[in-house]
Amino acid sequence: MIELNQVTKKYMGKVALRDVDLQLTKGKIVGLVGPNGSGKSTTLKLIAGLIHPTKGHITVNGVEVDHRIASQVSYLSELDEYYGFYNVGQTIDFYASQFPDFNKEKAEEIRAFMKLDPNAKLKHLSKGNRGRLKIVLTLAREVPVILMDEPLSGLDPMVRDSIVKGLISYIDLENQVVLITTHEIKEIEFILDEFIAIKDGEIIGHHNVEQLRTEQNMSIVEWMTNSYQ
Amino acid sequence: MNAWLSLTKKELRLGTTPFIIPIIAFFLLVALVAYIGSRFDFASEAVAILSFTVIGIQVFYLAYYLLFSLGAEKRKMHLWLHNPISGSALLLAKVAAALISMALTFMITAVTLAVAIGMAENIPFEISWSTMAQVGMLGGLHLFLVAISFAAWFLFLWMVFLLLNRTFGTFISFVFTFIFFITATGAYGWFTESAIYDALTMWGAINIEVFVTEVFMSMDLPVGEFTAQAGPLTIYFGQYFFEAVVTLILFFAAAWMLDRKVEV
Repeated sequence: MIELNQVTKKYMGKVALRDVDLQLTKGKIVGLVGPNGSGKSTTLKLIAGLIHPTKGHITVNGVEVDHRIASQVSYLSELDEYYGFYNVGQTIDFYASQFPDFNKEKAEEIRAFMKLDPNAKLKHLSKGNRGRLKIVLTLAREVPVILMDEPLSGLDPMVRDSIVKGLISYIDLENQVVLITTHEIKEIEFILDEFIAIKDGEIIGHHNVEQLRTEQNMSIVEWMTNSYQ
Repeated sequence: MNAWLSLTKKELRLGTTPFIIPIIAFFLLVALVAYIGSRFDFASEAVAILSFTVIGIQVFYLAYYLLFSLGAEKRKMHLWLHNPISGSALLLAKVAAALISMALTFMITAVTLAVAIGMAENIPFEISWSTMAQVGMLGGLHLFLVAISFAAWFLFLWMVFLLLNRTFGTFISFVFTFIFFITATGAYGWFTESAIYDALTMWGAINIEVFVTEVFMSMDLPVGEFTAQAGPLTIYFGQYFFEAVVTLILFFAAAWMLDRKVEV
């Protein structure tokens, strides 16, 4: 479904990703973990076609990506920017108009779950509520690929747990693959099927979370503590 | 199509500020000029001169509007570009919103000009309303054509700026884009002086002498003096065709850069 073939990305000569090979298939929630600047966000932007590889190829369902891959990819950015002149309901309507796969009923359901007022102006929303809106807009799309860059950033720790539990109920695990980057690994570990560890632009591990737990009796954080030292 | 129309509506909302500011500024200037002019019994004439000048300045309207719109989008590139619509359709939505705003602004200033001319008593020539409508239509059409051409240049240069901005800071990217702009327009200017340009564009001659004569006679001005100075009054369809091709090339080059090269 998602295929990265010998992908390198450089910014002004500085390597952000180096010769990355990766295949992801549907039906999985995959965590992309690593320290700041390791290349997590770069990987998601490359798959979303919002940046271009310096070398190598990226395909989603066999299609070479550019920004128009948005027809198959729903991308949640780490950035906190929206069109401030819209309110929550208008933003949902705008997204529904742009993406034919946008399920408005599902969006309303998630919006209600997130306790977002449809009449609230975006410029008056708290950071946490803008984060919730990003989740609404991303998960309401019925696309094969969902990319979420730090979806829990800015959310109150007290509500993160319920939102993470909510995430799983709004994902179609039969038909979608979800790739999530986060620093709140402990909070999402229980919903992850696999995790990919990245360091200095290189993939240093790709494991099944359940296998790691049963075979090595390790959590992701414990694995990372051992591997990143 | 519905997606594109919704996008265009969003562009119109994004462009509310650049649409309203010039209109407010124009009305403030009209009030100021009318007040000062009234002290010399010249209010309508002063407003007419101001309106005429403001109409002329509107050749830069689309570029100005797009600068604001794309500038606002620069902070939200991940939102704007995360869309299955092609780069050309994304840009066309912005151009459509800019054209709608320009048409409304043009109407406001043109009506103000017409009213001011109608009320003016100190204009040294008589001009019939039918001639004024003819001149207005032709002038307005050319104003829009030149504005569209400038808009295509602006979109192209903005994409060059965004590409440079991937590597350099904003200021350095702006300076390099400006140098590129000076070089490109210089080269284009040199090209328009060449024999190749003449060969490419000097076909489909349209004689406008009859039209100019009518306008000058309606104004009661000496036609002969003007035609003697200006030479044969001919425009070429080839020039319009050539400019249209250049405009399309610039637009689609900008769209290609947006699709393939610009990054968030």
